[in-house]
Amino acid sequence: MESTFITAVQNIASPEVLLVIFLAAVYGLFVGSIPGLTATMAVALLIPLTFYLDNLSAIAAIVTLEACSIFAGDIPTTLVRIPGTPSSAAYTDDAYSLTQKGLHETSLGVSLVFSVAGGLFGALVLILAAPLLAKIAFQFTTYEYFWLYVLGLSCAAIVSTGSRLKGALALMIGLMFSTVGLSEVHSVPRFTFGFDELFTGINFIPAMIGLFGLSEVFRNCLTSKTDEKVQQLQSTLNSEDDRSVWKHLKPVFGGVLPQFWKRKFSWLRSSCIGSTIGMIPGAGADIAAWISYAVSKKLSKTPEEYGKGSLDAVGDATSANNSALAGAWIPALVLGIPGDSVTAIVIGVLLMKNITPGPEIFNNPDQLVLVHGIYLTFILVNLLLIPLGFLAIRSGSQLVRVPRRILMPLILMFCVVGSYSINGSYFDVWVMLGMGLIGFTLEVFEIPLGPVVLGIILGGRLEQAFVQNLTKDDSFFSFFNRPISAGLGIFCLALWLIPLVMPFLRKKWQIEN
Amino acid sequence: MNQRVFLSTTVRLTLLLLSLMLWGGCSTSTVENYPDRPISIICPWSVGGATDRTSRQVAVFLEQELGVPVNVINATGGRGVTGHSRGLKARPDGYTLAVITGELNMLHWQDLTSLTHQDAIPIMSLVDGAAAVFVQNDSPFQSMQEIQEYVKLNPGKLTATGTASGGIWHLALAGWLDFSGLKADDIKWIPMNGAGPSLQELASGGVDLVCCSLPEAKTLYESGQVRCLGVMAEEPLPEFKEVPTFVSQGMNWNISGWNGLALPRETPQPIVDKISNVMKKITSGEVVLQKKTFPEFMQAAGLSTRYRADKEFAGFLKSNDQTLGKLLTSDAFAQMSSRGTGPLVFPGMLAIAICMILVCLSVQKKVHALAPEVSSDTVTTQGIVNAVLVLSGIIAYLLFAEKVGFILTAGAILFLLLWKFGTRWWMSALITALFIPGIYTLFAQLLRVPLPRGFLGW
Repeated sequence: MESTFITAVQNIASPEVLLVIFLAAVYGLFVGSIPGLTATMAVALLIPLTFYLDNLSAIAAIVTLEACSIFAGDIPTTLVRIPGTPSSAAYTDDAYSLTQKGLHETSLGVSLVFSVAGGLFGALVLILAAPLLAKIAFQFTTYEYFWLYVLGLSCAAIVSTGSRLKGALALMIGLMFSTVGLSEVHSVPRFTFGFDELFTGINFIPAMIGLFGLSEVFRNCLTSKTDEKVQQLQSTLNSEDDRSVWKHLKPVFGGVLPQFWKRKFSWLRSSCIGSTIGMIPGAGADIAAWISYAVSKKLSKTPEEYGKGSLDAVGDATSANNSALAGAWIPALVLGIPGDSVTAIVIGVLLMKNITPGPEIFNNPDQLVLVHGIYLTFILVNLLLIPLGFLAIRSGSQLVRVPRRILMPLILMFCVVGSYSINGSYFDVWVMLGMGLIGFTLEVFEIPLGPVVLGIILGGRLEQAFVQNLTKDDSFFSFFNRPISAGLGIFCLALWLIPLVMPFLRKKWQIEN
Repeated sequence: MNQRVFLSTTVRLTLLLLSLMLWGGCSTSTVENYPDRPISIICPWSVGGATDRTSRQVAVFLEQELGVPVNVINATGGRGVTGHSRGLKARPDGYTLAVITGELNMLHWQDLTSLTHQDAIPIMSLVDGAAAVFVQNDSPFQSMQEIQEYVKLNPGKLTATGTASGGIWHLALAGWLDFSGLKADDIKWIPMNGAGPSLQELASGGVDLVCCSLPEAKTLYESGQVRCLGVMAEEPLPEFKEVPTFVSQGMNWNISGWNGLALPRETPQPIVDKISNVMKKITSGEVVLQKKTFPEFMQAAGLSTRYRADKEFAGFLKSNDQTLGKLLTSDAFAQMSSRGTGPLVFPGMLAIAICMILVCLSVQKKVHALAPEVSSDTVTTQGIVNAVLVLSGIIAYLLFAEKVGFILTAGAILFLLLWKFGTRWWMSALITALFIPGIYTLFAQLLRVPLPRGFLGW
């Protein structure tokens, strides 16, 4: 055990591996911060390169790329309101509101530090408990998944700012969009109107770019917003005349440490939620971010700030989605079941390198060295993310100073290119355009956009689980016939019923007194 | 006034430049010097699966042999309809290759697409994975006969999964039931998207059987978490010799899922020949990359292969199409299609929920609560003009990018928008000149994400 660990340290400390990690980190930050390019895509693009790398470098590159690009997704979310990853959609409104107040660097600083902290927590869980916890994946059948998706979706509707009914409406609209295309469970095309392209359904990435990014461009154009306000705030922040390094560090890290100290328990809670959900195959960072956001809002002393620029929200949700990342590796390494699309690629790469993921890799000393190498990479990358992320934030923040008449056309170009490049399909650009108009309209009626995105992402899976369950057994009670599914199910029902029943109970209680 | 004169001069100059480029562009791209720009492979399945792994492996080797970048695009969804149509309906210039899978011979029988194998010029078949039946480690079943007998006595008791309903593994199992004299729905099929989730469901005790190919189950099988009762192949697979075949258990039933490389119909013959020759070289193990040949790589990945070139592949496609068609159109299969919740149940429930919420909202009189930012006070005429410009910019991109190419279309749109939004024209031109080639280099060259190419090739 110890000797393999030492070998792993020696392996990872070799200049080639470190160089690979560094390059992958830069690449990851780059890819993550461009809307439309996802971590999965970046990892897929890396596959040909892994043929030329040795085992450890290949896997280390993937780990690095993934961790860095998930954080970098927060940069466009905060600066131009285009969520870089679906998990950022949970706190897009918070992060962007902070930017409008001129606090974008603080917000990104919180994102960075909480991402790193969440990532480290996830890594620790992976290191200490992987073989122990992996069996959680074997507790999840279609029944449990059904309730898990319901829980994730409920959280999105419940936490939305403003009227809860409007949150629910947004959710239903999102779910409705998810029914477009060939229904996987029925093998029947729905709402496709004879277009082959519509068989795929609505891809959530162009939808997300349209809903958030393009609708913002429309709104800025229509209201001819000026940018004086932001610039003023900017100048007050940077007015101090000191030339030390702290001058650069301060806007990013200045408020973060006290914030982190204040929120240490909520960080712990969010990270736990994140790594638990990450461990369940098929449920990942997106659901984790929403659930931890909802829990965070419920337990907060200032829930009214959520959705309007709350640093607490940004911090909690980012630590959850980053800790989910390492969680997904647990079933992949221990059981050979991919936890998400990135680990699916990892399993492919491992097989290519003659390593079969499964319980055996913990017994084979050569492969155990690799596993330890993966652990170390997770830690190293999160530490490396602090300086690199800082540089990315500082350079990205220059965007805010660009006048809007120049920035808006550029954002528009990125919306178009980003939605096209995800699949190289013009249809996705149409989706982006349509969603931009819909997003704009919904916001005019103060209907939140986050739940729409989650609805599109989870709708298909929810329906699938629903149909699967009913195919197995016609009765609705079968949804509760396993311990975890019963627990989750009752929790979900309570979540929806209590707010409906509470007013009556309270009234009754008042009358009795 | 002066500025206008200047502008018209620039426009004229640009036009001249454009026509020069046009002329230059047209003269380069011909069949003789194929390939002279990046090639895309359209893979109809998602990243990480067996077909995607095959496609990426082929891409790496093709890239080495052809000397141009070869990118894989995963056009997923719609049970393969999307990817197959994009690959086979692409411009037949040899710059788009299609990976085709068994679904090509199934979807048209199920009326999901009009595409058939006749729309493809077959180049080389690659993976050929025989269907296999898996049970959980502690399952009471030890052989296929036991399952057969159990199903005979308890029809409809067992559940199985492996893919969507009507997918290749479903067909394999239902076909076996039919072959054994049982009804095709005597084992309930739970639709799942893909072998990975199906195997997890099996290990969690959610279903009794999984039908998929052995390589797909490699990790769980080798770690002893699932057992394999039989493989539907004529002979035991070389990598999994210990797994008994159906034939050895007295059932002469064989079926497999396959994939291969193809080109769109009407691709010029010299290009077809070139790709075909290169693929023959690659699959025969002549090309070495990192001390390994293509067949060695495929074996390491645990993928069973069967290389059939050109005519042989075409013959296979034809006979495979007939076999699958016979199964899919048989009474046994047609009867079981619609059962349980129909496709409109879920959308119907959603529609009801939306109506209820709207009613509640209108009772609360919240429907017309407009956001303060967008109201008649803040929206200006200029604003509306600008929004319309943005809208028409995107539509212009959609209409012209494919023909004119990314750089020209995007450049024109960006320049006009910047200029109309109030940036001075030379500044707009400068930003466009820096930004558009920048994006192009970034996406198409560095990140290897294909952008629209148009007639000039960029």
